[in-house]
Amino acid sequence: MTATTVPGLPPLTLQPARPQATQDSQPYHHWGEDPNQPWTLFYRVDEGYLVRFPDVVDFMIDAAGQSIVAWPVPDATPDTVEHFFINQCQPLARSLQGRLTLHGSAVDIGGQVVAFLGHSGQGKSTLAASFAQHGHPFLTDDGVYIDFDSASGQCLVHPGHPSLRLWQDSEQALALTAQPHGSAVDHTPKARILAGEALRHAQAPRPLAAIYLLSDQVPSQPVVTPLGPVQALHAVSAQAFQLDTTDRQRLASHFDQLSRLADRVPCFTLDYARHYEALPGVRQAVTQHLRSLLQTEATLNP
Amino acid sequence: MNLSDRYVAGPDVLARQVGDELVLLDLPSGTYFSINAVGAQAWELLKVGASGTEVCDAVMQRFDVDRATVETDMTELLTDLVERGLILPA
Repeated sequence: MTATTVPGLPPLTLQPARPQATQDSQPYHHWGEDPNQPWTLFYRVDEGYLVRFPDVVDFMIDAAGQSIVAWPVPDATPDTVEHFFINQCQPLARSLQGRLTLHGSAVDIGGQVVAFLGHSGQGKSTLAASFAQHGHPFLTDDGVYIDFDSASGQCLVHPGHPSLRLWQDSEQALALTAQPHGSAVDHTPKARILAGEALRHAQAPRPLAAIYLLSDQVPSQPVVTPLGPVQALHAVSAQAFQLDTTDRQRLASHFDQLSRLADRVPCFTLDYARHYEALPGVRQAVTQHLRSLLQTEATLNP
Repeated sequence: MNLSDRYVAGPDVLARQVGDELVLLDLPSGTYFSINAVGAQAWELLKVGASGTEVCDAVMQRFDVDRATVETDMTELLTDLVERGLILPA
């Protein structure tokens, strides 16, 4: 796979496998609906933060978010460790550096990026794959890596890992089964499909032109609805990676970035029927909407 | 709620301009609260020690609105901000 050069993503230092030791302190946060069976636990430790994926791997992220060290459990597969490293730990470490990463996918439409944000299972990856198959390369499938360009004031999105993770039904419906795949990963039935000629990956950072929030509404035709800046701030903040949710200085920086994003990048909800035959119509609706948006902006800011 | 009272911004409150509104973030709860342009002007004055009455005076200088309406709206805003812990009595 091609190495990506997203600013702020620390490399992985892999240590020999070891069992996961009981921690002295209680986790300060967890992911997972059932607190008795969390799928990620977060501990504050002297060195920084311990991010634990139970029975898979412990990651130690230093307090500045500059380094990540992994201790897999003895039977964890390297690809599973890499999966959690890329999709969860790197964006979390990046947040400690004051950089914004959103949970979503992004595609390049004529040199402008549109991001699709939403919860797992709402169709972000399928939508990105569909665009990438039809002339609009994807930048990322899981973490939308954002930086603000100090010279232009633009909000830039960096290309992430050159792969997409799809459920089997999406992979089949999009005819991507023959595309090169990454190794299977434990704990997720999704396949990692590598970028290539049939699934193009963008190579350079591009300005973020619009954010589309995927909802659970499924109208017969695609519907795009604008969100006001404050609504956008609420919605986008729910999709932002953030490792330390208690440090005042970091929260202030995070709030600053979300506010700038909501102020500068127009945000919309995108509702559409979740069946594969609807995807061409969704692509057309988004590209037309983006074109109209850019024309309006050009008129307002000639 | 007495408009002659003075207030200070809560110690764990951050404020940022987003579009035409001011968004306040209460850090402990992580909740957002947005206020319009008039409310934003009130916030800027309240946090440097102005009383509700003084804020009403400033709003009337800037906007074409009668005193009774301003005072009613200001009382409502101050009550809301106090209840949410976003401002505290000085």
